This record gives sequence, C-alpha cells and structure tokens, in this order.
Amino acid sequence: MGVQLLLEHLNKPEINTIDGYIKQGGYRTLDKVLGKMTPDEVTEEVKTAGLRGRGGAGFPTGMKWSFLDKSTDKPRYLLCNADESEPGTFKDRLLMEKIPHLLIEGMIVSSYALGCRTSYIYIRGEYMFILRILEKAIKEAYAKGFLGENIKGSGYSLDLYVHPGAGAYICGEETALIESLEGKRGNPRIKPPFPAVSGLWGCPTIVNNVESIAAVVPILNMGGSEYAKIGIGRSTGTKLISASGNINKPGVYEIELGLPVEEFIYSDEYCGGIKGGLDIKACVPGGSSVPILPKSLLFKESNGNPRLMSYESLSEGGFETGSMLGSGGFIVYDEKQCIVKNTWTFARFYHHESCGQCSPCREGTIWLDKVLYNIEHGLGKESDIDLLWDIQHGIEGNTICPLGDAAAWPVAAAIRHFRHEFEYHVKYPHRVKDDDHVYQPEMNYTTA
Amino acid sequence: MTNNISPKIAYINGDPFALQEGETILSFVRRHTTYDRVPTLCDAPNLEPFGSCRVCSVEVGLKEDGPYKTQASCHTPALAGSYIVTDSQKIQHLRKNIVELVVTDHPLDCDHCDANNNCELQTVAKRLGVTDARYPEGRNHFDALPDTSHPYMRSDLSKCINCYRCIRACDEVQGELVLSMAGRAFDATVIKGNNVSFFDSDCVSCGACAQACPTSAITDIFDSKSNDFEKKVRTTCTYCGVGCNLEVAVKDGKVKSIQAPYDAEVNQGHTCLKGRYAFSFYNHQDRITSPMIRRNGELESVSWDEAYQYIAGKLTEIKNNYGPNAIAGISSARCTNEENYLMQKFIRAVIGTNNIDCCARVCHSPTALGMQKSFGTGAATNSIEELVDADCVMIIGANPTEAHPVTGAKLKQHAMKGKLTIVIDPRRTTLAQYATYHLALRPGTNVALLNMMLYYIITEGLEDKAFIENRTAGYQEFKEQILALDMDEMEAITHVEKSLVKKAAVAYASSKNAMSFHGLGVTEHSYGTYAVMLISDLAMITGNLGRRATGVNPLRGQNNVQGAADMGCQPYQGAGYLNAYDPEINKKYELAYKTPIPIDEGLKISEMFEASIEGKLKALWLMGEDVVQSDPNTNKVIKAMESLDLLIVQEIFITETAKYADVILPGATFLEKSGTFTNGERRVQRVNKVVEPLPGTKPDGQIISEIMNVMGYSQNDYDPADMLDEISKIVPFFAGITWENLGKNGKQWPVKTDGTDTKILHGETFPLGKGRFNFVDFAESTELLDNEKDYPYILTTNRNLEHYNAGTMTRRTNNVHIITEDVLLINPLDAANHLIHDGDLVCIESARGKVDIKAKVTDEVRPGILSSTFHFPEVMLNIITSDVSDVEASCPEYKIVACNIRKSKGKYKTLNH
Repeated sequence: MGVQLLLEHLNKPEINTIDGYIKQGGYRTLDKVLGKMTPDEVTEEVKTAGLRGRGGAGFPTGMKWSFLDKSTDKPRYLLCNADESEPGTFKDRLLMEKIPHLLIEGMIVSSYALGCRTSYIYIRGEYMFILRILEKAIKEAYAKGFLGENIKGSGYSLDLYVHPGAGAYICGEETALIESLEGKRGNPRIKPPFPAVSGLWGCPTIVNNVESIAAVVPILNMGGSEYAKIGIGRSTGTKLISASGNINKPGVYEIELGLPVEEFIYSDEYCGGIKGGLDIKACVPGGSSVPILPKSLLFKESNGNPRLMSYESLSEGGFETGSMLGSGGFIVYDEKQCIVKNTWTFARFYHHESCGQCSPCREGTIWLDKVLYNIEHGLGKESDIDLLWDIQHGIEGNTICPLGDAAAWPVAAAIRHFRHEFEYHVKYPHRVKDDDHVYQPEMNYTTA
Repeated sequence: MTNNISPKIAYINGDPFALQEGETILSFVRRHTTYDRVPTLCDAPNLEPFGSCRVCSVEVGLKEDGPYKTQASCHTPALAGSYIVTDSQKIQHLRKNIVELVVTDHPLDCDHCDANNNCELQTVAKRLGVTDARYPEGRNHFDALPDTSHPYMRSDLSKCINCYRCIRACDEVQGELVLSMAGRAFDATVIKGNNVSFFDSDCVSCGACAQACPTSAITDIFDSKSNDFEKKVRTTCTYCGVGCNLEVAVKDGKVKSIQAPYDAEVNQGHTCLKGRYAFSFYNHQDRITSPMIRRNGELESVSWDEAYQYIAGKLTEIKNNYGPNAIAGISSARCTNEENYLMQKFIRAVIGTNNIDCCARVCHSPTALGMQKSFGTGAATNSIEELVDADCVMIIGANPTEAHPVTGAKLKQHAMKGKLTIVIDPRRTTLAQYATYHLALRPGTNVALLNMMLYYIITEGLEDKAFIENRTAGYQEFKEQILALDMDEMEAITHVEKSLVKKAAVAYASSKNAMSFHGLGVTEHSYGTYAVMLISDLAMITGNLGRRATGVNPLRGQNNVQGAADMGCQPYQGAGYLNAYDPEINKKYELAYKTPIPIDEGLKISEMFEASIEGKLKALWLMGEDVVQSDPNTNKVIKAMESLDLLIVQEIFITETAKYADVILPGATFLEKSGTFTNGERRVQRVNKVVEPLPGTKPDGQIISEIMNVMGYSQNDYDPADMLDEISKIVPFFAGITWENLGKNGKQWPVKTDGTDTKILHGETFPLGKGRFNFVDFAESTELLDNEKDYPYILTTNRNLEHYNAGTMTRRTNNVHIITEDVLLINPLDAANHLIHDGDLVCIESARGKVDIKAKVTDEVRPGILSSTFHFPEVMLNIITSDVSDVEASCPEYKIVACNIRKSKGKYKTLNH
C-alpha cells in the first residue's frame, strides 16, 4: 500500500470521536494556521500542492479559491459538496462515516483561507445516518472551541452547518446545490455569474468536494511542496478510488496518483483481480458519467505507454481512446457483462435525475432510456443506434450544467467501443430477451 | 488581422459590428440583424435570460479559424473580437434535433389550437424544417387534463414545452410565485400553488404567464394568443393611475382580447387582471343605450334631441331664476383630458359658474394642495421606471399590489430582492410582509409618525445640509418646532415604538436614492394635506428631490385623476391650475373661451351636497361619477340628490346615483372613444378608439360639446386632436403636446414647445423658487374625538385587486366570480370578544348608520382596527363612513370611521345578478 494521507488512521480506535482523532494528531492545523498564517498564505499552500478538485472535474482547488470575489463586503461562503450520488462512487461516504473530524478540520482551515464566517456541508439526503455522525462531530468540535466564536483564541470565528439534500442527484451540481441550500428547487443556474462572484444568497461562494477539503489538512500539515511531490506530473497527491464491479476486493482505496491501472486491478493490495478468474471486458474508471474503456485501451494508452491512475493518463487521447479519472468511481466489467444493458442502466439513472430544465437533457435523457430499453429488450432497429448517437450528440455541451454531458458520454463511449454489441442486439433480438443474457457472439445461443 | 481588431468589435457571420458593454450574444445579434435572426423558445422580452431551450445556440470562436464552441446565445456574454456563427450546418442540425425532441411530446394538432400561426414552437419548427419526429411511440403528456377552474385563466399542459416562461413571468414580473415546476426530468410539470387548480391557487390572474407562454399551454378564456382578429389597437387602460398601455384585438367590431405591449414604457408587457381581462363590461346588457328623462317618477327613453332640449330648457330656467351658481358639475377622472377640459369649459363658459369639481376631491386633493404648498406643483416628482435605481422605497398609506397592480408588482420585486423597503400602514399589506420596516400605526396618526421620522433624522444629524441650504426655505424655524416635540407622547399617539421609527428614519435618510410613494391612506384624513406636506419635508430634509430614483410620488387613484385636475376640474383653479378667482388671470381664459368667465368662488363636491340640502343648489350635472355609492355618508348624499330640481347623470350604467337622476345620458366607454389620459407620473398618453360606441351611446366629450352648442355656445365637434390643440394653448405645461407627437408612449408634462418632456421635476429649482418647510403638529380627528366613546373601533377602508371603486365596471365582468362581495377584516382577538367566526354576518354601526357585512378573521389588521372595501352596493359601506373631511382640501376622511360591531341578527344576504 502506498502513502496514506486521508485514510491513514482509518482503523485506529475511536477515530470517529474528537479525542480519538486528536490522539492521531488531528486538529494540528488549527494551531498552525489560525492567526499564524494569513488566509492568502493558506491558499498559496493549496496552490503549491497542486490539489485538483476531487469531485470529478479536476479543477485546481487553489485556483478556484483565488477566484473568490473579495472586492465586496458581502459575506462569503464555503459549501462542502457531500451530495455523492453517482453510481459507482462511494468514497466520501467512507471518509465522513469513519473520520468525520478530518472533514471538519478541513472545513475550518479552508473557511479560514476563504474568509468565511459561516460554512455548510450539503449532504446527500440518503446519507442521513452520516449527517448524524457529522452533527455529533460538529457538536464535539464546538465543545472543544474548534468551532464558534474566536476559535482557539485566534480571533477567527466560524459556524458550520450540515444540510441534507432531498434525494436529487442534480443537487451535486454546484449551482443546483446552492439553489437547494437556499430552499429552492435544485435547478442549476446559468453561468456567468459564477458562484465565486455570486453564489449562495448572491454572495461569493466556493463549492468543494468532501475529499478536496479533507486533503487540505495533510497539505497544511506536510506543506504544499511536500504534497506536490506525491503523485505524478500535474496529478499530485493521493486519490480515493471506490472500486466496484466484478473484482475480488471491492472497496475504497487511497492510491498515490500515477499507479498503473493494471496494478490497481490485479494487485492483491487493491482490487485483487477479476472475480472467478474471468477475463476483463471493460472498465468505467471515474464514475458512471465517464466514458467506458474497453480492455484494449484500459492498460495501455494509445501510444503504448502504460495507462496510469492519473488525470492526464486516463484522459489520454480524448474520448476517442481515453476516459477520465472523474470522481474515482472505478467500475470493472468481466467478459460476461452486457454493455448495452449496462449503458441502459446508466441512461435510466440520468433520465431519472435530469432536472428537466434544458430541453436537450429533459427530452434527450428519456429517449436515450427508451431507445436503449428497446435495443436491450430485443425491440430495437438498426437505425436506433444512429438515433442514440444523434440524441447524445444533441445533449452533450448543450445544457446549462454538466449533467447533460454526464448522460451523453457513457452512451457515446459504449457505441464508440462496443457498437458490435448493439448491432448484435438488433440483429438477434430473440437471443437478448432473457434478462440475464450475456453478450458473447462466440457462445452458441440456442433459440429461445 | 486578428491582432488588430478593435476591442469593441465582434463578428456576426464574418461581418464586424460594434459591441456594447455587457450584452449577450443574442442581444448583440438582434441589435445588428433582425429580432428573429436566432430562433428562441425560452427567451421572452420581459424576462431574464434563462438558457434552457438551447435553440438559440450559436457557434463562437475567439479566432476566425476556430476552434468554435457551441454556446447558448441568450445568456452568454458577447466577447470582444469573437466570431459568432449563427446558422452553421452543425448549429442547424443541433436546433433541429432539439426541436424534434420537443415535438415528440407535443400534440401536433395545430389546426385546432387557438395559438395556430402565433405559436413560437410552430414558427421555430417550421423554420427548422421539423415536421415529424423519428421517435417511436412512447410515454408522453398528451393526457394532461385542461384546467378550466378559473374565470379567466386556462391551462392545457399537454402543450407545455417546459420553457419555464410562465414560471419566470410569475416570479420576475408579477412576483406572485404561484407557478412552479414539480417533478424531475420528463416528469417535470408546471404546477399552480401546491399542485392545485388555477382557481384554488393564489393566482392573481394578471395573465403574465398566459402572455409569456410560447404555445397555448397557459392561456385565457379570450384565446389571447389567437391570430383570429381583424386589427389590434393600442390604447391606454381605464382603470388605475398606472396607465398601462393595452393592445386590443378586435374581431367583428367587438373586442376579442387584450395583451400588454412589450414596448410600453409604463408597463413593459405587463398589466393586471382588470386591464387584461375585465373589459367585458363595455358591451354588457346593462349598458344604457338611450337618453332617458324621468317623467311621473319613471325614466323614459327619449331621443338625443329631446334630451338636449329638455336639459337646455331646465338649465336656462334655473339659471334665470336662481343664477348660475345654483348649477354645478362634477367631472370624471374616468374620462379623457379633452372631455374634462370641455366639462369645465361648459360649466364655466356656458353655465357661468365655478361650481365644478371632480373626484380628485375625494382622493388626492390633499396631495395636490400639500405638494403645491411645499414645491409649487401638485404632481408626482419622478417616474415609476426609476424604481430600479432606488436604494430605499417608502410606501405610506398605500396598498399598490391591490390598487396599482403593475406598480405594486415592481415595488414587490424591489422588496423581494431584499432592498430597503419601509411601509407605513395600519394594515399588514402584502408589501408590509416583505418590508424591511413596517410601521403599523394607529389610523389617523400619519402626521405624528412623520414628525417622529423628521425628529430622528435631525437628532441623528442626517439632514442633507447642502440641499437645505441651497434649495429650501424656513428650515431653522421648522427644525426648532420638530425638536420641541416629545417622542414618548408621539409613540403613545401612533402606537409605533419610537426605536422602530428611528431605525426607519435613519434608513430612509442614509439611503443614496430614496423614493417615497403615498396613497389614499395619507390623503383621506382630516389632516391629509398636512401629512403630504410632511412627506415633502422628509424628501427635502434628505435631499431626495430633483434626482433620479427619488422624490414624492403620489399613486394617483384613477386613470385620469391627474388629468381631470390638470384640466381645471376644481372650483378655484382653471385649466392649467391658474387661479380661477383672479380677474387678471381670468382674462386669459376669457380670451380663449371668447366669453366672460365667472370669478365667484365655486363649490367643492361636499359643499355641493350641503348646498343642495340647503336648497341653494338646484341642478347638478354628473359626468361618470357614482357619488351615492362612492362618497361618504350615503344617506346624506342621497338626501342631496333628492333635494335637487334637476340631476343629470351621464353614465354607462344605471348606477346607484343614476337611480335618482332626472335625465340620463348614455356615455361611451374608453374602448369606444379617443382622447388622452394622464397617468400618475404626469404621462399624457393616447386613448385610441377600439370599437364604435354601442348604438345609442355617444362619447362623453361629444355629449358635452353638443349641449354647449344647443345652449348657444359655438363649440367644435369632439375631436381629440383639435381639443388638444386648444388645451396646449391654455395649459402651460401642455404647450408642446400634439395628438401626433404623443406617439405610442405619450409624454410626461411639462412638455416644452419643442416637444421635449420632463421625467423628473424640480431638478434645478422649484416652481416656488425654494421648497418650503412646513411644520404641523398632530391633532386627533374630530370623528374619533366625538364618537370614540360610543364607537370604540376604527374602521379604515381599502381596495381589492379584483374590483375598481364602486365596481360599476368590474362587477359586470368575470371579476365578480373571483371576489363576490365586500368583507370585513377583523382581528381574531376582536372576533373572539364578539363571538364572531370567519364568515359570520357582522353589523357595523357608526354615528351615521349601520350595515351588515361578512367577517373575515385575519391578523392583517390589529386589534381595534377593522377594514373593508366599498365595491358592492349590496353592502353600501359608505352608509357608515363619515363626512368629516380634510381641513384644507375637503377630501373626505374615508380612512377613519369610529364604529362598533356585533354579530348581525339579519339573515345572510346574497348577491343578485
């Protein structure tokens, strides 16, 4: 196992309590930062560390912070995006459930860097049990004087609240999250203005993922330049990967960025290989919205170099030959899995979760769902494959928020890399009527 | 060449055009090409960019050779030096794909749809060549049930394309927040309130959603979007003083529907349910269609000639026997400027008396007088449009969301954005609920409260010293008088905590631009004129005058109450507010009217009633004024009507007053005549004839000019252009107005001879030279002093959105199905004390009489305070109102009635229609 910055103390006793957390060196950054460093110096450390947004987009966190509009006297807000709801992504859950104080410590120092007096953790409604864990942790932090007025005599004050969502995936989109937090329907806002200028209640706002905020703690503990040494190239530090699918050891792993994909899948330290000794067919490396990669492109980049777990390597060659690191939702498919069925599952999800604001997404996601259903259930036509392509093409880049892209990419990639499976479904409808059918042309299906 | 481009240039399809700071790609393209160069669905002229339909997408590149990115043009800022391609093949394909998806869930029954040929989806689909969809059958919303619950609003959401325009109109234009979206993705659907019907929702039927809908998913009973009309005529609304422009569709000589034009400076595509939907009174079966003379107690239809001869004979007889001062006229703020001008000319030049007044007397006469005393001009100093730049808005004794809906909506938007809003009102009005400070004073204590505000502005040192020094007079003495007041005593009088008043005063005085608005809650009091003077003092002491987004802005009640006063319909001032009692000034009128003009003092409305009861006034001519229902102390008014020898009523319906008439002359509605109305911001706007007058009726101006001729005065036929020409020669501030140059949006007086109008008054100097500070101390109304022992409650009158004044017009439209009766607002504590439940019939008694009315138990009023409307003759609330009136301007004190209540013994009355 490589360097562990976030999950180092995962299995330490009582790490979920403030005392257990402090025993492992928790809340050290408060003494180091509050009143000792200027907010800009903290931001500078994060910039030096090269930390990139862990929610999926990979935007440099320090740069995002520097966009915060400091020219007004309006209050500023830091919102922690804990609305983790994408199929295949469950890393923030582990972090919050097991080591809640790491997030709270991160919130305190990040809020200090941004000059926030009040900050919020917006948590997925289905994570209600974690909300209670966080609230208990916050209460402990208040009791220790780590939150509230004049934290540790530094003169800095912060109030921290946890706010639950109500079951909408779209509220993980930062502007929809803001709308929801304001008590409105979670529809994304048009940009500009960006939240850094006009976010929560029209005030300058930064929205960061749980893991990004948690990563600020080790960055400040070890120094930005030390953190930057971990990882590879512009992919610095460690990343939580939630591995699932047909592997022997599903779970959340903290990896050093730059780990070869092959090692991650086959090493016993991580996924431990494919279940049942089957061959691997494909992998969705960054959560349900990123393009699926077939085995042929999974271990090697198109130029022959080994494919690494990093922002750059996973997206090598664009969507033609690459995918994205995304949120780290790593889903592995063995040779027996049906790509059409899997694509339909994802399409169904995005159809269900589209807010319905933009025409291409509202109307497009239902048709992706309907057409994929037809193909999957042996009701498809040859022309439906091109129709699917047209629909996803009409959605991609043509919506207010990235949910449209997220709905389009998996379909596009599935058709790009597995068109033959779609054609098989259309050509042999009777062979795919069974719900548990497996696409394997060489297997000699008997007529159903 | 890309290196040398000017920073203010961007390219549209290869051609360079000048860019404006901060504009979107869509507005940039529209400005330089045509409005529909880029197709849109979710964009609307009066709404903020939304970006949801994506049909407006264009390709944008920062270099000519790319790369190009697809962007929604409606909300993306246009960048200097960028290259915009509006109709590339890729974009066309994208748009077609989107619209194809949209039409998969749209019933393509265009031929049977009322929006056929006026549907934006249809237009865009046709343009992009989308006729059918490639998609198989699937789930859709075709089975959505139409909502026909409402008297006006309709919805058929099977036609909805989820563009949010209705929801945004409800939020951004009206601010009612009734419509919203429920459900996600394909299940997202527009709901009203908590998913109820239009009728059960809080919908105020403004129709903004129906006008905004690009298809006919939300529409109204008039099929307003239908292209099935012969012509559209632009005119000005006849209801309140906001002066909305209306676009009236006409078919078969009848009004089909009304929409609000987007290019109207007053209302920018918005109006209320009265302006948009309450027009069906105009050809209601109750319209009077023949002149009538009372013979043997019965009204008989007669010819126009006979009526004129009869009137001329009677008037001449009275004039000969009792002198011209035995005759009086009351003009109408509902009629045009030209008609009002003619009416006062008729009374002054033909009858020979100054006994002319109008209903400005019973609403804003204290405003006119008070502001004349402070500044020299009795009209709103600023324009409503300036609201967008106001940092602070103070609303005193006005409920604009009900009485001036379009201005009210703008004020509500201001308050809802969290901008500083101060409401001074005994009731918790809609705006009070959104206000930063609500000073809920005891009715009748405006003077004390305003003095408190002035006191705190002075003690906190927040006066605008430069303005006071340069622009005003009398400040030192005024300051001493204010500082001599005892704030504890004032607190006890007003029932408003002095700390709260102080906060509001500081907020008003500290704002850069503060606008004040006031209504009848200021004027309809014994000391209304004084309160107006104090409001003026507040503006002067803080320097909030003569600049944008400041000033003193009375919300004029009726469509043309400003105009009626401007035209000289008051005894002491002729057309243009020149002193009617000054022989020197009168020479100007005599020259113009070519006949001697009286200088005897004339009677104000209330004095006319007194004179009639005393037998001094023999004849009264009422043009469009229902004094029996709308003036206070009904029994006294009826007595006055009955005491007359000759009562001539020029009306469109048999009103409560017309029932006492000796002669009735059938006038015409605003839809049937041309002329001008002057709105509350001094804007003179054209009223254009939409349909011919009903057979048997005549425009009121026509009637007056004909009787003038019958009585021997040579007056041209009623022609607005002609009349305006005459008026512009007499009324100084109309000097530059002609029928032609008024155009679509009118002009705000004073208008110079070269035609330039005036948005903001008192920029450099006041008509008085310097503004005058006037101190007045609080005094209790005699109504309360005399009666509070026996009648411990205070009733204050108010207005409903759905009805207009005496309800003569609105009760003859579907509005009556929305609000069916007057109700009494009563606090739960008072209700409990009298065992009154919601909906119980209550008897209210005052020193004048008693009425039965249904109770509505609400905390909108404080304990001890009652409130009601007088829209319905079934209740006749004015039976109990007092004829105490403003000590200066004689405006009746409708806002304070000392009364008592008990559960009624009478049976619940229902409406007869």
